[in-house]
Amino acid sequence: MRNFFLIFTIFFIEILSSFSQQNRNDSLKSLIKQDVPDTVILKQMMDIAWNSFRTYPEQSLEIIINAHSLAKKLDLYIDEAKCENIIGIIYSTTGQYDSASFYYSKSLAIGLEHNDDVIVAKGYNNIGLNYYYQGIYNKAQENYFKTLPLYEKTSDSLGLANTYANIGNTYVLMNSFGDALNYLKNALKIFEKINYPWGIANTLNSMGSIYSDTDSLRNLAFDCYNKSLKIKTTLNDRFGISNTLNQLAMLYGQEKNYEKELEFYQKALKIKKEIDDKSGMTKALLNIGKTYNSLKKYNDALNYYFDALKISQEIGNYYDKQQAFSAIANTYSKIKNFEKAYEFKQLYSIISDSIMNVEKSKQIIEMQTKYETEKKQKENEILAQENQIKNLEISYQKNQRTVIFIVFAFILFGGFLIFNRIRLKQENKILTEKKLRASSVFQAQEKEKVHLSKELHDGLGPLLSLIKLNASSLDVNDKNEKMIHEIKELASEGMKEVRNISHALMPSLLEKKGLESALNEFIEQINQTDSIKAELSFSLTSKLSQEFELNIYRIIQETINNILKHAEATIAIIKLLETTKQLELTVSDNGKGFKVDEVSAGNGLNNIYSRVDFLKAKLKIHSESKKGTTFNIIVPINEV
Amino acid sequence: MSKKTISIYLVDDHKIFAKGLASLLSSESEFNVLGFAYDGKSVLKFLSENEVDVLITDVQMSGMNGLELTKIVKDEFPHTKVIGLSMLDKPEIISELINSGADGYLLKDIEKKELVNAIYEVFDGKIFYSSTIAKTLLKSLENKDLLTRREKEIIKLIVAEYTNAMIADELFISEHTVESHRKNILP
Repeated sequence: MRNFFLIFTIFFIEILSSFSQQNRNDSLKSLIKQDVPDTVILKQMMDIAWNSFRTYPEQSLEIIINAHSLAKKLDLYIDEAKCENIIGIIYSTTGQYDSASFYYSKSLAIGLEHNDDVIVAKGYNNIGLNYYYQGIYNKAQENYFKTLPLYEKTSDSLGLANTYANIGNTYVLMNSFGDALNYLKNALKIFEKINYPWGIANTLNSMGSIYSDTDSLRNLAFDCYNKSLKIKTTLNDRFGISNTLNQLAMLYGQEKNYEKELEFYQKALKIKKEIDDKSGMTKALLNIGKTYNSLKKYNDALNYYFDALKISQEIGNYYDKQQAFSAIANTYSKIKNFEKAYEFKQLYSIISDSIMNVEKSKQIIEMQTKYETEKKQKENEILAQENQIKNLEISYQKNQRTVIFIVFAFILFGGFLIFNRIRLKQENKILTEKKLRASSVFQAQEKEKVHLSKELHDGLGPLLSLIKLNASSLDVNDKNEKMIHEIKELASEGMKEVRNISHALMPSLLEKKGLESALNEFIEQINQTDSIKAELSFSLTSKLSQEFELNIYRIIQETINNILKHAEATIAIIKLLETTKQLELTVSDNGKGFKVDEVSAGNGLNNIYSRVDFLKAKLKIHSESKKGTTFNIIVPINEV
Repeated sequence: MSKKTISIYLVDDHKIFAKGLASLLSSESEFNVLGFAYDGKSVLKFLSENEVDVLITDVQMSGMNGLELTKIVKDEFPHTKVIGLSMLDKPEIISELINSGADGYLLKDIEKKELVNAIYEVFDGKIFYSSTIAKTLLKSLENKDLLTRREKEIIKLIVAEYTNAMIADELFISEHTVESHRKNILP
């Protein structure tokens, strides 16, 4: 059993060391030669994955997934949970948040099962961070708050302080600056008490960024940044030092102290050059250019902008390039060199267009990667099962030859797996691509609807309101009374119309208050028409993503519309029920029914099918003549 | 009604609306419109440097929204009254704004008269919401038996656009009691 993992690890370590110049694998090899316990090997595998995942994420993932199986076999739940956390972190740093969240939840479940507060706290914290990276701040906060009592219970001061800092930083992004300051101050107190300089410096930086937004608090911002700078200098954290110098420069800029601003940007630039942080250099150069612009030294500004442009071209950073083009164009127009200004404006718009396109194709690639990761996970499970069988064989044979034989068998087996995978992929490729394309078009439409709804509501609505307000402030006399009244009425009607259209495009309550409120409102509207009596029974506790909720809402909307149009029913019942990791939606009516295989899928039914596909759900339609129809849809919650 | 001029500040991320509303209110001789902003942060900055009696804020703004802004203003500048202006007439959203400490809630579908009246009312320390809003709230509360008999009487009079004083007269209770009932009605 253990030997298998040894071989497996050696196999991947070879791959690793062919990339890496470091030779930390020697120690592992020597361990394997001696008769060392499984636990030591497990520890080594975890260490290797943890230390190399930033440089070699894929290989580290393979190793840690195997370490995870080993921990499971050895029944070491703490290590199992640790492995799951590392897997999650690797996924999260590569932007695969769904997979990350899956593993974090697994680790959390282990903690809860064994009543292990440390694991539970880490689980919640990681889930929170995962939401933070995705920009879902309220959910991030929810999870952070869950860790607080646990850290207090286990008197883990560092954990507590980190969480306070996390909460504070999230509040900053939520624009709740008062709350943010409170939590950051708490974090700072603890960091100072346990003398944890990294924490102190980072917290001071966050506080500084809050203070710097308000003129009257700028002195406090200076204090924070200067203290942080001092700490980072003792720690010799040069990356951190250069960032803080940048922030200080910006502060001086706000005070219009351009000389100091320049001085600090230059200091930052020097360090960025020393540590070869190209992207940081570009930003510093752009900032220096901006300062020279404020000083009306346009030629100096241009020099720095062109330096920035050169580096951004070298490293292929589109955003920096875009900024440089725009800055150069503006500076040229200031020195009245309009020909050059026009030239760079053109370059700017070309690159802006291409950035837009890159963004769009990124979205498509993201969908594809999501699909492929799921596939990979399934294959890993198969691999793990096969491993078990192999292990039994290995335990009988301990000499070197068999080991070599098994290595060959393993390679053959791997080859077989890869061959099998390619074959399987080709078979499914066409079908999957079709489905993916259909549902991504569909989701794009949905996004466009939301956008349109906002534009109408927030753009046109206020204009109509202004018309009414102005009309109502006119002096009324006999001649114009009727007309003014007419204008006010028309503006009111216009506003109602805007509200109705925008509501049809995107129910505002869904966005603001969630699925249950939106459905209640929908049912109320249906019942007001008196054509049918609709009822809703709703028992859902999990919080779901807005995209998920919108799809469920649309399926229900579409089904009820079909009932209203075709079923001649008097009652419609909607049930939403949550079981473990599944959501069951049933919509039934007492109408005339239809023959499921004879009805050609019209627009309405097609829409339902597409959404069901997108949610990876299962749909069953049961219909009996004169007795009614039942739609039953089972949606997995985890995979969305 | 007080005789002092009322200083007013406006915020709306719809720039034309913010400007239009400001110029509309400047025509009232008792109002002193100090200016307008397009986002919440600028409002906080302005309030930290100027005395403002009444702040009129949009509810659905990008960045810091009206609810968050109201909460902060009520914490940091408690003497400034806040009126929310919105396109939305959903009871859930109305009660959220009132909960955040706002003194008034008006639908953008109003006439100038009503807006001017609202400003005077909240300046005098009263809570004000436009009749359309009150009707929506009444409808949403009708089915729920959450209100006492007294509260139901009061809400009907609010819908009929009675002032606190008029309600107090009608129901033989003090104006202060009406005020506290009004506060209870909104969850």
